[in-house]
Amino acid sequence: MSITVSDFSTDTVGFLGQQVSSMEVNSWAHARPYGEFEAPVTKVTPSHRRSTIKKSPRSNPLRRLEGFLVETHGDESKVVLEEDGQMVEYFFPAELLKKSGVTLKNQPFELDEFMEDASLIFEIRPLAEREHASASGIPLDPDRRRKLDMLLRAPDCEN
Amino acid sequence: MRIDFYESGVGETTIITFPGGGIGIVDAHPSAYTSRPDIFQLVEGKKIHFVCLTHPHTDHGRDLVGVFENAEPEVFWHTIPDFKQFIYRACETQQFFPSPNREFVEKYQQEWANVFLDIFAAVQERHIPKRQLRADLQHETIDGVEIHFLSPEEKITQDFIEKYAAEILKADPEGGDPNLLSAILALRYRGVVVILGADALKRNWEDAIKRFRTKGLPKALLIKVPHHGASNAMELRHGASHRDYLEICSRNPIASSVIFAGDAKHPEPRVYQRLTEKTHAACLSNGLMNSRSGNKPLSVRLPGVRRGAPPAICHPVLSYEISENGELIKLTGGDCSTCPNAMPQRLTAAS
Repeated sequence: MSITVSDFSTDTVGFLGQQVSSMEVNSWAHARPYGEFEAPVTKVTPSHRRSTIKKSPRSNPLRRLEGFLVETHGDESKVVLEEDGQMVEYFFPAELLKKSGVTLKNQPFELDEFMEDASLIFEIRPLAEREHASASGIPLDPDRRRKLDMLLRAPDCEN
Repeated sequence: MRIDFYESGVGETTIITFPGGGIGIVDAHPSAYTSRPDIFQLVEGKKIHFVCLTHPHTDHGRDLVGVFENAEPEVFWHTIPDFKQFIYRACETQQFFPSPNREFVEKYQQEWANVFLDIFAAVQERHIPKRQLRADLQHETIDGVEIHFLSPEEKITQDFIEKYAAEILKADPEGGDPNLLSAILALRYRGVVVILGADALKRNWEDAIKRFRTKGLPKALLIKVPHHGASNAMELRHGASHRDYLEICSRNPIASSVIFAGDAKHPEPRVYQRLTEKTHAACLSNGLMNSRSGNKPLSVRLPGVRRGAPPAICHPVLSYEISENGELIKLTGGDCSTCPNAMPQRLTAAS
């Protein structure tokens, strides 16, 4: 799904008076380096890190961010995006993600920015679908693992 | 009785000091701006009658870990109906997808789980009594202060657990909302009622208002605004049948309200407008103001997108006292009527 910024009002980011012209967006986007996930595709990655969905045929995005869906309540979805190696929480319109096929908790997706006819275009694509999900445990450190085991075995852990 | 609300970035910290000098802690989260003192400074040398985790969200519980590991609270109040199932599902049965950012997904879920593992493990290992709060429990009395539990209803907690299981097992992002587990506390002392609304949602308030009236409590003079002033906690539609928490707040004299902004959006402008019209509203932090993150360019400039980041501070602490004469006295902090950041044009601009 593609979204064009010019389709919407200029005050789009939720902060007072912070209006963004396309020129400003364009220069800012070019100023930022691409993240490590845009390293050459020949890089060998373990299978659990490999995306199962073919990436967009579009090439040369201004920028590509990767993230995942945390939760949806009401008309907003909380997502986490990876920015410069950090996890950053964002709130996206839930409908936007749904229309793009991002509908599952922990589901990874890509967000690409393109310039097209002097407008900034966004494209969101899921990187995996429901059938690719598998249940597994969180990699707890040894102390948290001990705590979990203790809590699950404790007879009086219930209320 | 005194109540201190501490600015806590995206989270909340409330400390009640009872007439006998002991305290009760209702949620705790460190300040992103370090304007809140360290939690140990706040509790040091004091008898802790209870620690209440109003619902299982880290912005309400992160700083409780140290309290349970180092202090001596008499009892832990929480609202999680089946903790074993809750933590087992969160830690052992998450649905993960193959992707380049899988490690980030795992780390995110891990940080969330760590807080609740640490809290419940400390409580278990130190033999601190636990009590699951529900709306049908009898009130507690500490030093003459009645503490009434208005939420959650048992039907809501059961519904949460079922939806939470679906969320984990089926990767349903619209599964159980932990905000529905919010413990709404009503404190009555010398005829004055204070409501601590946690992150309770509209569905919680429907029942909580009935409970409030059944108990014959007088209308509240002070309310901690639920869910950081979000629109899903207040009915804003005209003519809606749903009940609104302002119904149980005093109009004469006008009640005071305290707002912890949740992130760089809350309080929701329409909610904020109603609060300023109907109460003496005061913000610890206000998402309507330009925040620290708001002064930097957002990385994602997609329409409708906002960053989850701490809003700007209005007051580092808001403190109130209920005197022996039954008067509510504001000890620290102004309110939005005198705050230049809450001018009407800002509201209009935000709307």
